[in-house]
Amino acid sequence: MRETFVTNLTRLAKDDESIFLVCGDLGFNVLEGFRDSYPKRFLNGGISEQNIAGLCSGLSREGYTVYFYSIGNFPTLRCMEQIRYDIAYHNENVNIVAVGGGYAYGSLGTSHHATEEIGMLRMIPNMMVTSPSDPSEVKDILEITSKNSCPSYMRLNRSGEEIIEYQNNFSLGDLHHAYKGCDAPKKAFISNGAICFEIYKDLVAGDVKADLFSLPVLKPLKKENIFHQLVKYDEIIIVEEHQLIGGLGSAIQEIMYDHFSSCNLTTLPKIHRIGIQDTFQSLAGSQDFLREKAGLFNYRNHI
Amino acid sequence: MKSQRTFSHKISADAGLHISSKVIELCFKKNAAHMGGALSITDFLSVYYSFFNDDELTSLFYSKGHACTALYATLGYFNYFDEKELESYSDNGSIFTSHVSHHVPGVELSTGSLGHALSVASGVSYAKKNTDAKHRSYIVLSDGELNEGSNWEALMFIAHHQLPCTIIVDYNKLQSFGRITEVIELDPLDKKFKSFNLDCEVVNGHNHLEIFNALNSLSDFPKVIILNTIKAHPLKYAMNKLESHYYPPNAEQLTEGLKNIKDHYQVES
Repeated sequence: MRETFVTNLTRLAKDDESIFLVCGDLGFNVLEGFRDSYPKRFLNGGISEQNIAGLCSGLSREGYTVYFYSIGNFPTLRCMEQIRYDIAYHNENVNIVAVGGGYAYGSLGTSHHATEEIGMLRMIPNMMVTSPSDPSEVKDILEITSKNSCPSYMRLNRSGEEIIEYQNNFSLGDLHHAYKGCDAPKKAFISNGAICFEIYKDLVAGDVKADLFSLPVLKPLKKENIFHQLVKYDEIIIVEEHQLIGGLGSAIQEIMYDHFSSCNLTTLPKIHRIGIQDTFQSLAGSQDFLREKAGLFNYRNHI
Repeated sequence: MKSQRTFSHKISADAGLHISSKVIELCFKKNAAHMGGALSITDFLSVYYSFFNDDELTSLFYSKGHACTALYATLGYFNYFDEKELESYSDNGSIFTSHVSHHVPGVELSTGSLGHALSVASGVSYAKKNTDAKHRSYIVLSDGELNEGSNWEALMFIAHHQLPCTIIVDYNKLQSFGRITEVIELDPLDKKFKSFNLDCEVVNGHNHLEIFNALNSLSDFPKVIILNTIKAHPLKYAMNKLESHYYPPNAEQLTEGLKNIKDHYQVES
């Protein structure tokens, strides 16, 4: 995902001279291409995410479309108030891109697990919040954020993620149909981020009679569309590599219950939410080891 | 608005008299806090907006957002909006919130959470320098605000890139719940800035000519100006007292305070 991000950002920056990339002293073997192509539009701001978030706001005020790239917690939790006040409140064109979403940097320890940032950022007005499921969605989202002017967040995994062959075209705020097991299945899985691809593989391998949707944009959402699409199912399983509080499952449940209270339907699908249960993972381990420890693979019980 | 860069005591003292009076009247009428830190920075604002402000070539980032009455009164005095609008200060539905709001004409950045404006200004100055635009950012910090680590991140960045920023510290030596010396000692403050490779000058923050000369002797490089000030200056009943951070004047104190201000600026001019 990070290669897709930087390759496409470098491509877009050729024609769009407003694109400016700031990093927090990282990007070895990733950002050199952009840096060398556009040295006047690249800045290593040092290990100082609070200052960088503020200075990105300043760069945006001067007309730049700013991308702030760093690892998981650092361009998000470390500078949350600068994001809220200097970026979102002033509605600046600052796009935060974090590599290492969820447990992607598993063995590096809890400091490098990005498992709360989506919920925190989703609450901030004006922020677009995204967690693409595969490199194709990284590209789609990047195209959008490079053209609009609102602040945004994009969570990336690491590198080497595979492409999902989607059933429909990407549309901002809509469900992205990743897998179709049969006509009119009774069960749907919804996910985003790299764990969506794990579900995809399992459903394909088992020829499972279910649908899988990616929901790569958590805000803004086309709520009516999502409600009417999901209400057809008997059972919905939502899977996220994030705390259960405030993330993807929360967003979907908010839509389902808010619309249910004002429509004529008498039943809702059963919704199962699978995510991190208000815990930290303090042991070393691979991304899959920590996903297993956190119970994220329990979605397999529903296949 | 473009100012004329020739010093005249009368021009800035008239501004100081008007702005300081407006600050204490507003605090009295609206039962508002933060009078002390507003009065300590009024003389700087009077000099800056009289002689240095230029909407094309300068930007002022007012980081000590709690001392908003001084900035609002200054912008009203210098015709960024009809001064009468300021009568709605802090009322329901007013744009004049009790920490600085960018919805007020002339305000660059909403502030109030301390330690933000220096970083934003550094981004603006970096972009301006990147495009060779002639521009200077002025950032007004409180002294207590220097407890926030984000300022020191920004100072290292500004020094490293030698950005055209003038950093003004309102050193009134009283923060929210104690004296600077009791809470977190800042001295030797000028040496701290100098050790960051920043030019630093210390001046009397209530002497308009000293402020003018410090602002007027700028290169294209960053500079810190430490203003030695007195909280709630020049109100005799409130000067250098912690209470001035919280309490507005009562009717008697307002009358006395307005007289103190008048006496001070008449002597000054």
